Amino acid sequence: MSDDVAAQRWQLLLRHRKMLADYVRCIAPTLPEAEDIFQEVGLLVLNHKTGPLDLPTAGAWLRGVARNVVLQHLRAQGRQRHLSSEEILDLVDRTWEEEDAEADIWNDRRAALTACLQQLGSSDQQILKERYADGAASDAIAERLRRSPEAMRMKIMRLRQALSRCISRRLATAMGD
Amino acid sequence: MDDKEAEQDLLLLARRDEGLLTAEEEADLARRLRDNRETRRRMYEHYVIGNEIGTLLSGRSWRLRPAVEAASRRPRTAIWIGAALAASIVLTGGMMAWKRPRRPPPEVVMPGNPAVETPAPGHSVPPMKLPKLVTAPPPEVPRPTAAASVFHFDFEDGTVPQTASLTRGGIVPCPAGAEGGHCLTGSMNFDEPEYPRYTVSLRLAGSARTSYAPGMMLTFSYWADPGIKELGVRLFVAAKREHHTTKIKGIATGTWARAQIALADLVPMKPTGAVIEPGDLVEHLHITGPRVGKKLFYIDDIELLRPEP
Repeated sequence: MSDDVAAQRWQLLLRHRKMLADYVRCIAPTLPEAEDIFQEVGLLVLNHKTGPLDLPTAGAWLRGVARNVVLQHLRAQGRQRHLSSEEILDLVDRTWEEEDAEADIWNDRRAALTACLQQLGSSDQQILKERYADGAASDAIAERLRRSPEAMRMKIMRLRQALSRCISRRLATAMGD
Repeated sequence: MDDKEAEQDLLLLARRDEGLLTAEEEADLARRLRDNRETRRRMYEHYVIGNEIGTLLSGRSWRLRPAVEAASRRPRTAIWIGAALAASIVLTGGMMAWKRPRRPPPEVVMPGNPAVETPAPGHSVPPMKLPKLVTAPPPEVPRPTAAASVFHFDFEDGTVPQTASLTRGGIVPCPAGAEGGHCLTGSMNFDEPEYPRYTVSLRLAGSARTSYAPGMMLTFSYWADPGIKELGVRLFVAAKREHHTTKIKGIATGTWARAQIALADLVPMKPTGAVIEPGDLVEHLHITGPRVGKKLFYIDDIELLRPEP
């Protein structure tokens, strides 16, 4: 493969990396597996000989590659039961396709998140860090804080709801300015 | 859809995220996703914002983890071989102590130019061979008394030292490693505009976040797969808001070797950049390896030395 094609594939990955990473996280069973699978998808894309380089279908193609890698990964480990049903995977694909068209809105929401996170107390930030950065299960966080797993899941859900409302408020204010 | 329905969506998504859905719950989630665009949007937000929360709160992106699993299964294979060997020692009542083959200890000449030193014969670790059985560690090379350690990171226990955070790369079993042997390997660096290179990045904190002083020396052990021609070292100098860099050419491959870099030899990445000066705060260390592909590199025992007055 020529350096030009490799460079174009790299640009393709750069452009779609957030979308691809979020998609992989959605269909891979755990955070560490999602990280490895994302790298593997990146390698496949960089070395692919026939896939699209810069077409409107690139997003769907990348997701197709990722879905296959996840399937192979779980089959190789005899863990098909950890895979979502075919129907859910198809619905995930449909969701990402729908939201591809809203990429700007999601970029804005990501950008607004920083300020909203800063409004949370340090203990709440710590809970979110453990869950979303370290990949800790709610049960493990609950145990550390001596709470029930269900209460912890509810707590995390409330924090996410608060962040979502904060993001919407900030964007609405920004639109009004 | 009312708030209660929205809450039920979020609870199902949270349970799915942790692999806790029952068959009935999964069917319920599928129905909701099929019938409601809002549910689909909530799922999208759940993962998009969830990932972003992880990135922002950790200072690293999960997308930048090591590609060892993707490019090579060798480290893990080596571990299993090591485990099998250890088990056989126990089963046969072997009395010899098993020790991980050691990487070369720091051997520093100060000051100096960017240099590569292959390990002494007694310290070299052949690629992909079983760990050696030894009864005593190889002799340590005496440290120069004129240098004080600002930080010394090894990753033996598989964790990042408290005075650093890993912003690129990850901790993995070492390529020629065995029980308990961990080191760093790089991950794709998405900040490379041309083509990705595997990169290890450590953000320095606490006592490791230090000021530049003349005569400072960075040393580290590395393992580079055959075919890799150079490694890069880059420091982010906070005071200058600039990266300073150098390349280590003609490196040893297929074995553990030790590199040492005089910080004075680093040059600004921008041709017009200001040179590093005494007192400038150094806060982010990057070691870059090969272009993303099948060749990998590993790093361990990173030490920054300051000459003692």
